[in-house]
Amino acid sequence: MSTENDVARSLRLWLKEARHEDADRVLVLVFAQVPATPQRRANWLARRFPPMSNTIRFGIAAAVVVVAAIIGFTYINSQVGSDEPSPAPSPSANLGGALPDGLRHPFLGERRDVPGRPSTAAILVFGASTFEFFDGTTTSMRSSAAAMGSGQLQVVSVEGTAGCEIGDEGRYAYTLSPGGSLMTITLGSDPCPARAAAMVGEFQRSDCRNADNFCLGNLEAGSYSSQYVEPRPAGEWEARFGALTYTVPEGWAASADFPELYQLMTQSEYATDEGDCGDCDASINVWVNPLPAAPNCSENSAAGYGTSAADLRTWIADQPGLVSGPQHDVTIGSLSAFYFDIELAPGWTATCGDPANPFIGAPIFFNGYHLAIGVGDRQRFVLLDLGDGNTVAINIDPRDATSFDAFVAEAMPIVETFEFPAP
Amino acid sequence: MDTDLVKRAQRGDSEAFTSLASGLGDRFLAVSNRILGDIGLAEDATQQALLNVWRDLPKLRDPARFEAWAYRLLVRACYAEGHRGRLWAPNLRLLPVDEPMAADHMDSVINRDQLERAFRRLTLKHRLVLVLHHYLDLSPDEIADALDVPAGTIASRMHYALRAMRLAIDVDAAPTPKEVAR
Repeated sequence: MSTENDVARSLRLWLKEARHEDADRVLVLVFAQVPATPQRRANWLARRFPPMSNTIRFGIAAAVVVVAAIIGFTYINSQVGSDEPSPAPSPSANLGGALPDGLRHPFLGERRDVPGRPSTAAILVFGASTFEFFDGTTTSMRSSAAAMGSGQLQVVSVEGTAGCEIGDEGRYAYTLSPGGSLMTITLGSDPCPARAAAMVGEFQRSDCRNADNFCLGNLEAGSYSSQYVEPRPAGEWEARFGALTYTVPEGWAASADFPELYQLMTQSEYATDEGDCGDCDASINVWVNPLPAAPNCSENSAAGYGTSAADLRTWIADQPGLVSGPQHDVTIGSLSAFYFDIELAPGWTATCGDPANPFIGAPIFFNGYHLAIGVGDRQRFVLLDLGDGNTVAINIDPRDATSFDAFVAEAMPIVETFEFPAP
Repeated sequence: MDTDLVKRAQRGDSEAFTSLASGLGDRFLAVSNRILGDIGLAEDATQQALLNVWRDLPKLRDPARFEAWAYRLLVRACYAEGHRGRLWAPNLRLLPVDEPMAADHMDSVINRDQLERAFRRLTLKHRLVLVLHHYLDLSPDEIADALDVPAGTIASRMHYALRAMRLAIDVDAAPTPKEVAR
């Protein structure tokens, strides 16, 4: 039996063994391609600055639960879709084959009562031949998993947790929607009641480009629920499935799901996103409790203003760098809301962003993320009070001003399906 | 790192980029080879990462953070190559070793074959943190910076990676896991 210190010491020696690695051939190929490879300019800075790292943002969220959850998510994501067998001992009872690609994802479902295990989330995590359950804080019910013919699934416990014994074998049937973004699981048999309670039901596939987030990724037309955004924060944050629900037509993706920000994006835009929202155009952004941003573009809120929808509207109207259009009423999730469009004031020359690489623009909101508007940009804002002291700003951000009308016409019907159910 | 070189390359100076890339090339290849376990995939990842460095340099806001940023691009390229090339495929090419470690040194701990087999079983993310820490000697904070994830995540990932390595080595050494099944 080795210790982890033995492993670390041996691993270090092994990795540092000299090997034949000469990059000259690669460099020749790279240098040959440089003249034909245009550099990308940082035009996204004129939209949103500075995209705070998750480290800082989650620091602001401050909840230990968030950190623990993110560590858990990251560990889970590291297991998902791997073709490698789990390092944990595997039972020999599996008779079927590897799970199909369509199953090798996390699947998010409504929180459910799992015997002996209180949960804040219900996330089924399938790898090529593994299954585990993430309850919002910890993983459990680790099992080997195998496909047993069309739509049939076998799971065999490899650890004795949550009332499951090692070797417990469960059989389930599953169906996937045509695009694979929705799954329904029904019980065949399982001696482990906790696993049965965890697995049976309807789930949404998470196929997020950001490996450290469980956003849903590309969506089929249909209705969906958020998992992590909390529009009605009260006390310590915890994951709440369905805190935001919405319906989208074909062609949309859910590209970010964080406690203070949920983002939808066109699939064509999402295909070019690198998972870090470095260029987040053609998107609908739900901001939780945004604050008026400090006019000097620092990562602070402006003093002297409240945070209700009306207060935010007043603040925007007071900003010399912003020109906003007329206000219109709209109903969002049976709540009264209003919307208006914003542009940068003509002739505005003040700058925002990194001092080494500033852009002409004006700040709007700050809630850990910072939102600004730049030259030639036009955005729509929908503001609403949720009635419990919380405020939501929905920002519709087209790719550019020329596509504003068409994009808003596509986005507003989606926004009008938003619901913010109370816990 | 010469930040003037970085700034010049950001403005499109290909000679400055040549200097930067030449300084990174061998290390990029060594790191990606250890992560991917295949020199062909490693060369592809290094090539793509260096081209991405050139292409995206204008987006780098702080030239002093060039190296961490460049490693982030290398990591992304390794992910892409790893998923495209099926990691540790059966046709894995083992490279000759220039300076083999003294046998008694390695054997006294865990033998090389065990290590290699165990390392192959790790997920890509686990291999990444282990290579960045144990090969490049980056601290967890530096790895967090390079990967753009919270330091706590790196600490957790390193813990799980080492635990997975140890389990894989122990399982490898065990006669059979069959008795685990009911």
